[in-house]
Amino acid sequence: MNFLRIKPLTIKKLKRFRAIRRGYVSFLLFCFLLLVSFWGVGEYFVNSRALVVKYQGQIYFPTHGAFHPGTDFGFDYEYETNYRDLKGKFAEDPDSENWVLLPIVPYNAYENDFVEGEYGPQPPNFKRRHFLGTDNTGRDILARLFYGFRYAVGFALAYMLIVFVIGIAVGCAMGYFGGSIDLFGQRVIEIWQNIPFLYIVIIVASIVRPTIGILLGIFVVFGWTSMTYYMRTETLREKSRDYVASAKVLGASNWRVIFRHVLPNTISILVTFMPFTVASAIASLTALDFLGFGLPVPTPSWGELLQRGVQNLNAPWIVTSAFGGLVVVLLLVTFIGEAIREAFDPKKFTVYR
Amino acid sequence: MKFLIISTAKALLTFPILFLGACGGDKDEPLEVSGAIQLSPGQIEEALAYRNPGAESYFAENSEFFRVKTAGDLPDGLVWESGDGEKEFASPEAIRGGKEKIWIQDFPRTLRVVGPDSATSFRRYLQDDHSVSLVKKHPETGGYFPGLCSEWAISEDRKTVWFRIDPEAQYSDGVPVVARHFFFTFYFMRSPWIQAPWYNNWYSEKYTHITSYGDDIIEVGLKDAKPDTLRFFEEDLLPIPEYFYDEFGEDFINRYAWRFVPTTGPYIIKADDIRKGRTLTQTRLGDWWADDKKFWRYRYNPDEREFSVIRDPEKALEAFLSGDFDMQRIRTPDVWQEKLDKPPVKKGYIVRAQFYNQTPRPCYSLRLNKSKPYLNDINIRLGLQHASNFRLVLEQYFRGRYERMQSSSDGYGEYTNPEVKARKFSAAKAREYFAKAGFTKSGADGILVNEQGERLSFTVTTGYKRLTDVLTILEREARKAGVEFQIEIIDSTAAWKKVQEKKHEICLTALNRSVELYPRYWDFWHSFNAYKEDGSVKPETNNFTVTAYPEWDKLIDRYEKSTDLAEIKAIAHELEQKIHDDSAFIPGWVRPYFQCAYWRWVQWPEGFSSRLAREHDELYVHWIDPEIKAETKAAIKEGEDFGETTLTFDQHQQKP
Repeated sequence: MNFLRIKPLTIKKLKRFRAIRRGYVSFLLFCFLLLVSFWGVGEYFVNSRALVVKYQGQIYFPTHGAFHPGTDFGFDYEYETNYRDLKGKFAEDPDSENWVLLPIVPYNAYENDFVEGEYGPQPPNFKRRHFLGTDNTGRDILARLFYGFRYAVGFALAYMLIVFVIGIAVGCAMGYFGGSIDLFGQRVIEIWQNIPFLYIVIIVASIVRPTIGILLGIFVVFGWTSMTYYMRTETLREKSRDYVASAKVLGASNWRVIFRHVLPNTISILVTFMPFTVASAIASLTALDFLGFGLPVPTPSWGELLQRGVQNLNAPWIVTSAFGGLVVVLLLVTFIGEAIREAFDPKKFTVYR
Repeated sequence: MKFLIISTAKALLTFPILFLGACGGDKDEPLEVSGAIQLSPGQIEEALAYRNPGAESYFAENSEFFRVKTAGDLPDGLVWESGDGEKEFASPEAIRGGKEKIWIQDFPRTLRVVGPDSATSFRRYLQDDHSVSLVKKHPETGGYFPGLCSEWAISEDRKTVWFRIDPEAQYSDGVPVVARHFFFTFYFMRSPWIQAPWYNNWYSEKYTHITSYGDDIIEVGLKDAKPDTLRFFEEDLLPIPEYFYDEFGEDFINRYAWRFVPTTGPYIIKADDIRKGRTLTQTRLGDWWADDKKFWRYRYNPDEREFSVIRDPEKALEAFLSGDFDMQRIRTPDVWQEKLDKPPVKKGYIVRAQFYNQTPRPCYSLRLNKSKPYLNDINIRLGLQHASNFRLVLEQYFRGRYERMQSSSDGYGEYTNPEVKARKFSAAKAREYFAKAGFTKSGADGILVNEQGERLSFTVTTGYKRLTDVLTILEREARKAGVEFQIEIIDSTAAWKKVQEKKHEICLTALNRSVELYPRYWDFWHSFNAYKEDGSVKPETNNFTVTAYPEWDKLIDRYEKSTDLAEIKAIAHELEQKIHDDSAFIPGWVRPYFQCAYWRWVQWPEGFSSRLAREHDELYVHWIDPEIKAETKAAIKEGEDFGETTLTFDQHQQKP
């Protein structure tokens, strides 16, 4: 794991990245969004379950863990307690010592919050804490946007990780060993790239109920090829450098040469591609959802939200929320990407001047 | 290399030419082969004398089926009827003329009405709505009135029908309709060249013979006796002009793809009026043969009907609001309430109308596949009945404007069992039933589990993407009863296949129903359609619940054979009760009316439409009033306000 040690050169690059203000601020913002929406954390901000309930002298923290049936808090039903109702119930009795603390957005992404006598999408309503309004079935837009972000970013990060691992392995092997492995690998990739990805997704989605795992699988199966070519070129270039030759002369194994010498020197290209891969994965997933071939109903998703917005142009808060969210996130990721590219530009920091 | 360059250049040149040719193919049809051209007396004689050689030999080979007799051979004692007692349903005030503009989502891919690509939503404008059949069902009473025939007679065993063809009946090109054309229908419809297995089968299986007594009388034999015998002649057995198909052969599908077949109806399509992919215009015949017939006059009033393609329904709605189209069908309450809440409606230029009808309803429902684990348990099925909150769907999604379906055969009048009522949503009751089936404990997510730790979870399959919201509401509510619905929305063809193969657990489907006297049970509830002889589930049938009870089979067999309406009614009621008790059918919702919006110059008869009409434009009784049109156009310019108009016609509303 020696190669993971931060080198002075890398520190210099990171410092430079920090100096690019737009990129750095975007990075901090994006990290903040990630943290807030992270599995287990997001539930404290946007959730139908209360943060804290004090009922008959006992304190409950319902956010995580098993659900509390309504009977736990004096309702007559056995399904999950509606904590907003509970709050209302406690408020009716000012003398009671029971209280409920709800999250900022007291809705989850699935529940239908219908108001009697009002139909269709409802505009933003601060009193009911629907900050971005609701959709056709009374679901909170902000909650769906929030959890949709979690799915989109989680999906994109997982996709990037898998694609990079495969891309690096295959690309390195092709570039470093060359010969028949290279020739054969290139042909396989060329053929593979000609399979129409969109059709495959549409066919699969129309036959089975697509889960996030299946979608990720399809994305990876058709997405791994792009990284291989960059890695192959980089490896080829590094391989022909003198230091690789000297390492070989000194008797270093292939393993050592690849991991100790070649890979660390290709890191800039990898880092540069990361944000753009994430951005394109988010965009593709959203596009698929928009077309109706993405995540299974009723998973919160940005594409679905966008499509709903377009279908209900008389409820502009849906389409603006989804569109705004998408623009902000893609912009952030792109700014980060540009800053990284600039910071890691080998022309500025190459040791082989 | 040189060769390669030249051939590439050639290919590049030919490509755009081919492309253009495919787009602007409106001129490539020779004019002689269109039913829109009026023939001369000589040509008419020629057309009547024409005999298709293939058909001739086919008739000779099947002389048992195709019988030719003379007028003198007609059996005695036939009781001729002509539907005289029925009332007219069009308005004598109707004004002929004007141009009606209509939007369609897809341009028809062919003008054929049979064969590949012909079963589109445009087919009704080519045949179903316009062509005159032998008889038609009266939209108000459900009785029959004459179309191509002037009168008919039915044998006592209800298996043979005689028709006297109206001497005035003729095609749009002026050729009279004769008995021989009905013979040709059988030859045509049974031909493999039309590539239509359904028609091949129908015309081979349903009839026993056709006999002509001269040119103007035919006799048709039916395999099964039915109380409503004439149903077989409402939409089927239309005459086919033999002379028009003198090139009928293997290449029929392509050769006749864009030829307008002579029609007995009022509208023709001229070759010049087809602009492929964009618009298509129908022209009214100046002197249509049925113009003075009692049940056909004052109908089909616009002189021209122009169809334009608009792919996106949202966009079409906007175009309608800006006056590009005359009428708009309304399918969902959000269009009625919100999307039409715009100035032209508020100022009364556009009128909204709601008409309560009484037709068999498309049965939107959840069907439980009893061949799947747990769903074979009556307690689970009863629990699911109570776990499905259609009340909330109706109240919120359908805005209280639709009604709960009560039984599997709503809308059949007295043949619907009034005692059967759908079970109401109750989380507590559902939990009681689930407990009886062994699901007593709640998991961490609130879903019930049994002793073995299995979760109470079912997949709900549907092909209706537009009903996503309905399913998400049902799914949320079902959680309250401790059952999980996994929603599977797939491509409609894939969903249909899955359901037909009975690979689903629960499906949300609706089957469209034509206006019939009494419901069908055999397709959905007979064991013949549930299991194969080897005990495996039978695919390609509509028994989606996989119901197989010998006792039901006996009832259904008796029902199918019966010609006694009282018995049919009694069995229908009994079966409906059994279906209710069996609980594999969770009734969804019905729309007890149709809705439309139209610019105020479109006028309607008193009472708007008729009891059995399913859509506003089905009967063609509306007309365009030029004076009101001019008045409205002027009013729009001035900004004059007529006041919002919403009409409700509830003369046929069935009160619960």
